[in-house]
Amino acid sequence: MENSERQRFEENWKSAFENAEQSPSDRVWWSIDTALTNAEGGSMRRKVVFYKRLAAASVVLALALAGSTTFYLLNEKGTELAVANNQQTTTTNNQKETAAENLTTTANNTQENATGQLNRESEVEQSITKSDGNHTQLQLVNNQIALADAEEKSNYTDANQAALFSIFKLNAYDPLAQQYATDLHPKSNVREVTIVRKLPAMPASMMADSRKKKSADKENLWAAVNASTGSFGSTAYNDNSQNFLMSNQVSSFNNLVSASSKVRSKGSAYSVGVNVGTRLAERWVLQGGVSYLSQNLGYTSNFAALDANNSRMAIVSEYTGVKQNIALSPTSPYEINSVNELVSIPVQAGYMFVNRKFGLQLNSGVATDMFIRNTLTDKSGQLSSFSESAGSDSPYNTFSWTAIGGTELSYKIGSQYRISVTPGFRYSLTPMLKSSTESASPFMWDMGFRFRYILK
Amino acid sequence: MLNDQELIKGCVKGERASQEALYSRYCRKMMVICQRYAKSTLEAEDILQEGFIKVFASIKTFRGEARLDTWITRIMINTALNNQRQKLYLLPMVDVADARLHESEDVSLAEFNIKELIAMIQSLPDGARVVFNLFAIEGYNHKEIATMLEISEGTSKSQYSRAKSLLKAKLENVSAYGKFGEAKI
Repeated sequence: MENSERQRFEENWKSAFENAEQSPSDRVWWSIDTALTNAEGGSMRRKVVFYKRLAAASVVLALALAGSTTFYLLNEKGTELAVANNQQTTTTNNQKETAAENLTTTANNTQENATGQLNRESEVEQSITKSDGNHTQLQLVNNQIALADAEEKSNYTDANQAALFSIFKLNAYDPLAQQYATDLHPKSNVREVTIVRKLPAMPASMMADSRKKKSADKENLWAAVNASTGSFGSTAYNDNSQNFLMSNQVSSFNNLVSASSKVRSKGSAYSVGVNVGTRLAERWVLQGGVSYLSQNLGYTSNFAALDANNSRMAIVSEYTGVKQNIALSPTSPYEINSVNELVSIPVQAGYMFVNRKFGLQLNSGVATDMFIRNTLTDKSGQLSSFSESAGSDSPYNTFSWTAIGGTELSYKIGSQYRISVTPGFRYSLTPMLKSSTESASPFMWDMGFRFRYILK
Repeated sequence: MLNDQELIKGCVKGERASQEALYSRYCRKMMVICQRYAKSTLEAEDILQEGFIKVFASIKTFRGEARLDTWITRIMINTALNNQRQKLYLLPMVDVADARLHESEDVSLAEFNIKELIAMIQSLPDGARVVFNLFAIEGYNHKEIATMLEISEGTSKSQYSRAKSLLKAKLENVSAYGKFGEAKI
């Protein structure tokens, strides 16, 4: 009885709430929406921090690679010097000279060419060896070896053979070298040998082309959109001052005033563009495209231009040389924002150091920059803006050339996409201003982002 | 109108429109559940909000083995229990003497609307309210409830008995006074 009552009681409550509904207030969804947005924002902030660090790491990596490559190239040239250094602890200057003289004298009896070769070798050794008096016995042995070698060389009739022979000078204390000596020169017990070790062109990990090919290998043709922002230093024309008569004061020589426009040392720039790329070889790629580039620079000017309606426009002294009919008027110093707009057509070759899910690529190339227009805007808004396109009466060259380079650190998403951060630089090879012999903004650093769609 | 599977796909992608549609579809049903476990509507809304944030955060793990509303209900109940747990620890439930069940006439719930029933449940002490919800409405047995709330089975039974006694008294009280238009819950 009680049990059935209990069941009935529970069933009543359960069925009462079976399809029950109550509307919550709107604030619940707003709060959820806000919480979700904040969560996404937090995730985005973390991504931004990640990409900042990634960009910094890639710059460091690029510099390290450039440094190690330079070091390697320099080191390869100095291989002979490095080899000679190995011998410096066993010989002295004087004894080497003696050996060289003996060698030279003996060799002179047979072949002049062979003598010349040996002389050069002796000179090199002489120039880099240092005195060390603790190896008297070895020095004596070396003297004997040198004499024996000279005799042996004198038997060679061909200068090339003598030169070849000079490579195999065996070190007395090197067991491996002694083995070589026994094999190559059965008559002698000890020899000196010059072991030339060629460094690999790159670290082994980077040369491992034979490793299993991954899906990244399928990337043979791609299209990409990219955007970048950066800064450049303006060094060439910090202060352009000219003395000329202002238009409204022509009657008085006292009104010959100095009109100057000073440029800020730092400017900012951004670019957006599209490009396509293709793989030329296993690790070499070629990329090209078109970008819109905007360079922003601040000036301070103390004069204005007068237009046909006699209203004043912002202007800088770069224009006074080329605009003969321009009328100027003095003003109190004011700030100008100068914006150069260009279309840039870059062509770059790239080398893929890492070509997997993560990619590391070094790019280098040139860009043809086509000047579109320069716009000068008074920051205070009191003067009208002045705009000048490319042309014969423009102070700007229509075309200029820029060297470009950078690193591309990428991550493949799925099978069709790859996103990259692209820290890089631009270096103006030709000046943008006609009047200038050097570029106004020679060096520009930028940090870009690229989204690549893999076509095949 | 999108079905549950399509909504789930959208939510997995983080599409706000799908999240809002999912919320709109189930928020009213879940609100009632939250109200049963909470002491007030405001507290119920907090549980509802927290529960749905958990739903969106973990919807990738939904494998479709249960119905979507069942899965969401479980999340809401867990959220509510977590919310109540602190209170339950602060006021540890102890065995109480079984209240004598009134052998009075059976009181039908049909004459009460949902708001009144919720108000009755909300008026129960914290421990009794939670156990009543889990036992009478969700259908868990006392052993499961004991495990869930980390209490003894005896405590669960006694808390339920207390809840039942209190509710019956309230129902009878409301019914009696309700006849004279003075229902007071």
